[in-house]
Amino acid sequence: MQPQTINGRQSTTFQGNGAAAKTSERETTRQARTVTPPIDVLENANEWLVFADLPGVSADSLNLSLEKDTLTLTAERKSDIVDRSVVYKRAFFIPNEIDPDKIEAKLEDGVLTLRLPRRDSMKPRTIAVKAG
Amino acid sequence: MLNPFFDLTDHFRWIGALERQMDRAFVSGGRDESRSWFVMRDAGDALILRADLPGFTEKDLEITLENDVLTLRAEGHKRAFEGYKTVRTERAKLGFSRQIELPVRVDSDGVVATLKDGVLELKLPKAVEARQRRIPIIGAKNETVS
Repeated sequence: MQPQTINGRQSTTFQGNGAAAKTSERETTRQARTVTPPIDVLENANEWLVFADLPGVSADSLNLSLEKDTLTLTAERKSDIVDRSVVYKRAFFIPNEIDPDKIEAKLEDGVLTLRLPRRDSMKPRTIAVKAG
Repeated sequence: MLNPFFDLTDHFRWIGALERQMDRAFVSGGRDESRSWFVMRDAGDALILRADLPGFTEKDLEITLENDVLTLRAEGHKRAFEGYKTVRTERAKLGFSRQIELPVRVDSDGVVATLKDGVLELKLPKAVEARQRRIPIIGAKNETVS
């Protein structure tokens, strides 16, 4: 799976894969299938926010791993009376401006919220001016 | 539809397909288009409806049943965050109202709705007259009983 950048400025990767932007599904086996969860991405001067729809996923079946500059999300939704199991999978390219040690994740009501703070050195700051 | 072996499950699959088409037509940006966010199954004595509603809580949902029509209403919330710029939007827009005509009569008092991890599950017990009944066969021997 090609990691996607969440950074709008590196938008060649970001906008280039319009097809992948839509939720896609790939048949893997008859038992489980892989679904790319839809995401929203927001940013301000301090951080990036990523929201992913993961209905039917509880915190213990969600796995987030960061390897080098790639954050991979894998979550399993167990099969139930109406449907077979689903594996949600998506990988993101994490730009260098983000501090990997400060990434936070929260799962609530089937929505994953990722908070990706920028490195302090990347944040805007005001420089104090000393009076002469 | 006159096929006596017509399976309700197929009927629901068809509903699912229709729902997906409607979503394509009316929801720009789209819900999960490749996979039905709304599934219904015939579980014998009950109908089971499952709807993926990530981000919704009990307070946002209103479910009503009138005759054979189930109405599902979800109140949307603004997702805009103050001071944030939107970079990417793929998730479905919030808030909708959908009417679903049930293929059999259900016992409205026995309906159970649960919401967990953004998934709504509705168990709609079939009305007694709509349930499958086993017809006893009277054999030739029994005819002499009276």
